[in-house]
Amino acid sequence: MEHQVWHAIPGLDEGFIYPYIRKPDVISSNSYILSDPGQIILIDPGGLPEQAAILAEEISLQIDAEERPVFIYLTHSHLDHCLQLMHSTEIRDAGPIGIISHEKGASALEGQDTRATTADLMGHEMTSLVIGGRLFEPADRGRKGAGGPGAGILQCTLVDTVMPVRPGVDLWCQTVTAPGNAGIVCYHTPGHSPDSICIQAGRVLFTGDLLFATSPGVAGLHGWDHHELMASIEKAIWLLDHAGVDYCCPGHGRILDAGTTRKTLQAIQKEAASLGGIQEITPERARMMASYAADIMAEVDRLFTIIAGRLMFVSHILEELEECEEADRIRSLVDADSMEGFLAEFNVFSQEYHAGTRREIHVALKAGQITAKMARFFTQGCLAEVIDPSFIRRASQLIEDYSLTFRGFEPLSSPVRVSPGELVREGISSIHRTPFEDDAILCADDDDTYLQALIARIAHVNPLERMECSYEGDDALSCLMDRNRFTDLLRTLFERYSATGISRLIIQVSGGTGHVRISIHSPENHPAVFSGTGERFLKRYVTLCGGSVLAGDQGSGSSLILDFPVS
Amino acid sequence: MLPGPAAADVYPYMIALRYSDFMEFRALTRDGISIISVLGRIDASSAPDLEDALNQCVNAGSGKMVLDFSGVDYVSSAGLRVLLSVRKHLVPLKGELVIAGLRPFVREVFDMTGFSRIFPLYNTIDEACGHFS
Repeated sequence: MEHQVWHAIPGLDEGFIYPYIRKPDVISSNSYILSDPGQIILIDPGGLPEQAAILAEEISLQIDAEERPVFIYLTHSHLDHCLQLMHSTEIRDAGPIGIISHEKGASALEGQDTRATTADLMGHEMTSLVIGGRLFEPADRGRKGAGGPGAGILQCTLVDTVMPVRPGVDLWCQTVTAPGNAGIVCYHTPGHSPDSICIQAGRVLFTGDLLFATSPGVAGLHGWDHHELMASIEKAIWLLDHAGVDYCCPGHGRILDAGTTRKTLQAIQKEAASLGGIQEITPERARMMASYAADIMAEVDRLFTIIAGRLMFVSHILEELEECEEADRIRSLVDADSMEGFLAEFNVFSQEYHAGTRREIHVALKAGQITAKMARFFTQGCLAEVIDPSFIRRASQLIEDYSLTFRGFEPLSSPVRVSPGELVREGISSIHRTPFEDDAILCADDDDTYLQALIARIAHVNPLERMECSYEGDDALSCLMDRNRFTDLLRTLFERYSATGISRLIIQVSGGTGHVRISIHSPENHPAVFSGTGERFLKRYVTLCGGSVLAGDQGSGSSLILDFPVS
Repeated sequence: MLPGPAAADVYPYMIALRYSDFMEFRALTRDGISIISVLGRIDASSAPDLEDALNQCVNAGSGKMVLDFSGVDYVSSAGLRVLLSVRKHLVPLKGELVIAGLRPFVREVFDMTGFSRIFPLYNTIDEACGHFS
């Protein structure tokens, strides 16, 4: 069905539908206007004033053609679906309207519940609403008859049990009728929120946010319920098989045929199964995620710039050596333009956040989208011939950690018993290790081997070559730490110290009560190595290694002190 | 805005003054050397503007160029690519691009990528201009 064009509703003799389809985002949902001889229905007015203005204009044209009551159905009470009910005078003035929603959604909107409606996350002001039609009131369960929502205008059969989906899983529905139409059937499908409903008109099913209920940044919203969602997905699949549905109109994204919807539901069913125990997305968590996103994007940006810059450097030298074909190949190992675009996109978003036009949740969601796209840039094995694998591994790990956190899980950390002294010594010795054999170029007996040896030699840029590190400690000490993460942490620390101009470091490993202490100190004058967001980044990094930061390096004379639990 | 007195008061020949969303740059000449001062971020959004400006300087100048990066707090790979591209244009002219005043973050990028080996780096504009004497 085409956007903003009237179509006949499949399965209804005299019904028409006007879809308003948006590019998916968290600001506003899709909207749908239905028109039949007895009524005009608006499903989800959305969150944007310009959208509301267009919908109101279309409704006015319908009323001008034939005076009828207007009913606004809400698939649920999240404000991206209904904010304009509060703010759009055009919608309110379109005609005598009745608002119909699940009774829990009605209570949330009437009571201005900022958590249930996500107003707290999105930073929206709520105003009072009166919901005339309250669906699925507990008192109505199991009864049939006239009355219920919009008495005087509407008649409805009260809540009844549809055929059991399977033993123990019932799908509750309510049919709302107005004079002269075949009735709108509402199904209670909680999980995304307690008040989520699907709405059927003819052979078209309006599914609200059911298809997105497992999406990162959506799963875990206040009221999200894993058990209920699993059941509702099953119910929706049952509906597709038994309720004569040809098309599904989701709250976000394009309209789907029943077959595609079925596949989508089956896919999210699998995804939902893994989401038990995820953390709730609260405003505090959104704030944490936004700061986390800013920190990891800054570090990913740094690492990517190094990776892309190295490729350019190697490619440039090869060109000067008239190895143009190989230079082109090296240059094309990453799609730098796309990656640059993602980073610039996040930067613009971040600027808008600092200017007050974006919320924390928007930043977290944008970072989630961008990191998902970035992930593939750091999984290309061919980069390892040119780039120190440590850069790629660190960037991948940061992205994976954010992605897990964004989805409501804890990043994976695997503390094991290690000798921190040995790891520190290994880290120090890796500073001056070269990834090539000195005589590899001389020994190359064919062109390809020669070229690979040449590239390995050119690609080896060691910014730490002037760094002198000394180690003092007891190798017999052992503690619990994530070995790989700590190795990467050391490398990051060396780079950060070096970037502030430090060329001498002393690393001490000592025992304490219940902990092993690692102190890093430079005898040279230097500014603070980690301050502000850098300190926040360091603390999170060390925590994932299994330790804690006792003291940050505040500049000359101070030490960075990390504690790890003894094993 | 770039700090300090107007560049035209300091250097007699201002040849360009350009602005980008997150970047500002100013180009002038002194003793036959083009000096381009840049302020802000050089990323995918602003790099094309920098490239345009630097190419204008290449076309208008003697091929001796000093890029003052003391006002640059961030450079991405797109920015590095511009520098390489400009260097390529300068080679046939027997010109050279010299960079002055790298801030710590940008200096780290140059060191980590190997660009410190490609471009002569100096602490100040005056030292960078001395490269051509």
